[in-house]
Amino acid sequence: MPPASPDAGPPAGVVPAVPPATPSLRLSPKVLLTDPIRMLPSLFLPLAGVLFLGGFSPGSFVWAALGIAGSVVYSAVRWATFTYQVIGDRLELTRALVSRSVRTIPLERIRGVDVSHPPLHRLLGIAVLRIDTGAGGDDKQEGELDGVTVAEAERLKAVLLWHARARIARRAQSTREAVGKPTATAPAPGTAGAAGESAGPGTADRGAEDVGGVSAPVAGGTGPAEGRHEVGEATPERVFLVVPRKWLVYGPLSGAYLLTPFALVAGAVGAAFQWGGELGLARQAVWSAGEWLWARPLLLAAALAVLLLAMPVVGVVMYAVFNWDFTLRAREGYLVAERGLVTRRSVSLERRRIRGFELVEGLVERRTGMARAWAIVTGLGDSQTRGQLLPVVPRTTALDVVGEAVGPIATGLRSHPPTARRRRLFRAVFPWLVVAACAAPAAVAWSGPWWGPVVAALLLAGLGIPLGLDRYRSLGHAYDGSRLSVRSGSLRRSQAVVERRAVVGWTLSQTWFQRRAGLLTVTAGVGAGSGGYAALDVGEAEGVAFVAEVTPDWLAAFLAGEDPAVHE
Amino acid sequence: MSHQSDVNGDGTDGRETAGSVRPAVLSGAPSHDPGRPGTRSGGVPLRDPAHPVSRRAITLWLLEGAIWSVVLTAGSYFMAGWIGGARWSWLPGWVPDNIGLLPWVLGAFFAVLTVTESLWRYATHRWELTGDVVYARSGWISRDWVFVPVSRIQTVDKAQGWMERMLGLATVEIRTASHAGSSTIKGLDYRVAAGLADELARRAEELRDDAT
Repeated sequence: MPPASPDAGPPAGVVPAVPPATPSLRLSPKVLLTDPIRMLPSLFLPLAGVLFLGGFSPGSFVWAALGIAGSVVYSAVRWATFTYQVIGDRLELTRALVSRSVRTIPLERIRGVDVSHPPLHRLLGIAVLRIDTGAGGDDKQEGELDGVTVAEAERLKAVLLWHARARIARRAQSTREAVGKPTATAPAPGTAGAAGESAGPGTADRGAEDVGGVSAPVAGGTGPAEGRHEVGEATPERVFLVVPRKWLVYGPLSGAYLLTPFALVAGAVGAAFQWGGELGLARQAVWSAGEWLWARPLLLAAALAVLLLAMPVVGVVMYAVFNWDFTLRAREGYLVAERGLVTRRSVSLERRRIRGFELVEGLVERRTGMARAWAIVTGLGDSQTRGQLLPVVPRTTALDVVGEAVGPIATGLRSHPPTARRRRLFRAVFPWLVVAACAAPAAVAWSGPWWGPVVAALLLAGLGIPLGLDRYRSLGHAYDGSRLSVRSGSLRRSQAVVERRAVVGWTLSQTWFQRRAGLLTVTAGVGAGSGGYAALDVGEAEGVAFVAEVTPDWLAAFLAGEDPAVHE
Repeated sequence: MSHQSDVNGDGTDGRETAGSVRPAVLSGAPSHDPGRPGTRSGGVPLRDPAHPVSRRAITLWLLEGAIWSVVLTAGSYFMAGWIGGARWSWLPGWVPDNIGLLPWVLGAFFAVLTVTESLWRYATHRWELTGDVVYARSGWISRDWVFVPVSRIQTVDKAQGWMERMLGLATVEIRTASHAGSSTIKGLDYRVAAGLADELARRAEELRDDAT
């Protein structure tokens, strides 16, 4: 028998004073069902192979049955030999299959905990818990508990995050002591953390919103919630936005999933080739089918038309599957984004680590007044999918929600000098002119189909003019005293708003062309999000002034002719 | 000689303030007038960083450029032989006739380019540590200015390739949480690099704050 079944285990262990030491636990035994089923696809081919080779003789069925039984036994052994345990300040994942391996995750490195419910898991009432340690880069998530009961997932999440908060609170307190300022409204580093220890009045700035917010405790989360109340975390959750289902039709405006029909067809053709041989279908047959289709252009055109018509429909469907009931809520120092129809995915972003946001609008979205938003979070791996705060929603709603959850958007962007417009135009038009210039002699020499690329390149060059102008209109930068903002792009216009304290350095760069035009690109190095946010083609003096404005004491010593004392 | 006044008053003695890494470490290398604080880099209102890199860095860039030049010139030589031998019908007749000149033209071009680039790089690459901010400039045709405050530094690496080792040079890599706030100073004298790396590591430890 397992030492303590997580189903029976009470949500104990959240004792505020001593670090909780939970007993060593196993995953829910229900994974014995999910694991073999999940393995089926990878088992299918060998099994089919065995049956075919054996000519469906009784012997081959025995072998296939042995294979299935083997996989069940394998998952049983895996289940029996895998335990996890919170010991003091670390989480230990122990696997003692053949050799014994222990993965230790210091709790203080845990930056977030995601709980997701794939369909099969949801049926059985279990969940997958992923622990994000912000290892960054391509490292896979370091800890994954595939198959714990929903209650256990909630409990463990509370325990793991409790540690993170306690650490923050300790640090906040020590800095407070060091500064000698006993107010909990101390600036940045411990915003949410300060609330961890000093209860009610300590819920600093943003936390205050949560206190006043709608109190709607989640079902099933009451146990751990009580535990958290003990540590003085009295902030009930607040829902910022549940995206209405009718807004799902806006999804394809972002251009996402529009190419799905084509991807599906390509996938089907690929599969036909790969599996054709196995299923006894000769490769020749697939080829001849293709040739048959090619010989009937009308049919081909019809198929293409169907695919084109399917684009928005399939786009909406796919978008809906992934973004069903997108919900953004605040829960005890975390922003939690939940979405998904089949696999319900929930991402917790520690508010203390949020440094700003990025508002993204595609060309069509701007025409229709839509926008998407991402959070800029330090140490968040795969921030492109995980940092999303809002799917495609009306821009005004996006601004309201982001304004409440993170901060207001910067307005009054300063535009960039006219020489920047020339540069944007040049970059949008010139490459296509080069292509046209290269293709034109070929067309003259060999004629015929070579005029195609020439015309296409010229057309694109023509389109480059409005594109370049629009790119220039997008350019802008601003600083409001605590947050800087940069904007660029046309087909995908993106405006980033980043807190000043997140800036870890600056890079000013100037190409030869920019130098001729008296421009430079100022990139704020930010230890969050994409790592750097650039103001493209700022005037030379303006760019340096912008850096000096945001971080005056870093630059003061290096400004030319600014400080006469420098010259002695 | 000109010195900047110590902006942050970080305890150094006021005269030698271009960072705590004294330019004196450079004594071996004939440093030409560290500072030139008044000179502007083109139209950009930033003064030049105080210290040039080691003069041996020119040799390093010459060597690197020479290796590339030889590889590309040799490549063009073989390509010229191939084109000259093949005599494709679609090429105008004068091309295979004169293709033998291509390696020579390219070789001369690369030689000039290498020398120009090395000297130009030496003029552009400069660095400075003042008021707990690392200020470095690099590039040649296009240029980069990087500002990294010591308090945000996460790691300081000192690296030496085999050519750098031969020449007694080193590269200091200053990393923060962001690639755009990280700086690489190439072609420093080994002792200067070691001194800078140690100093940065020490100051970073003292000033460390959690901003990421």
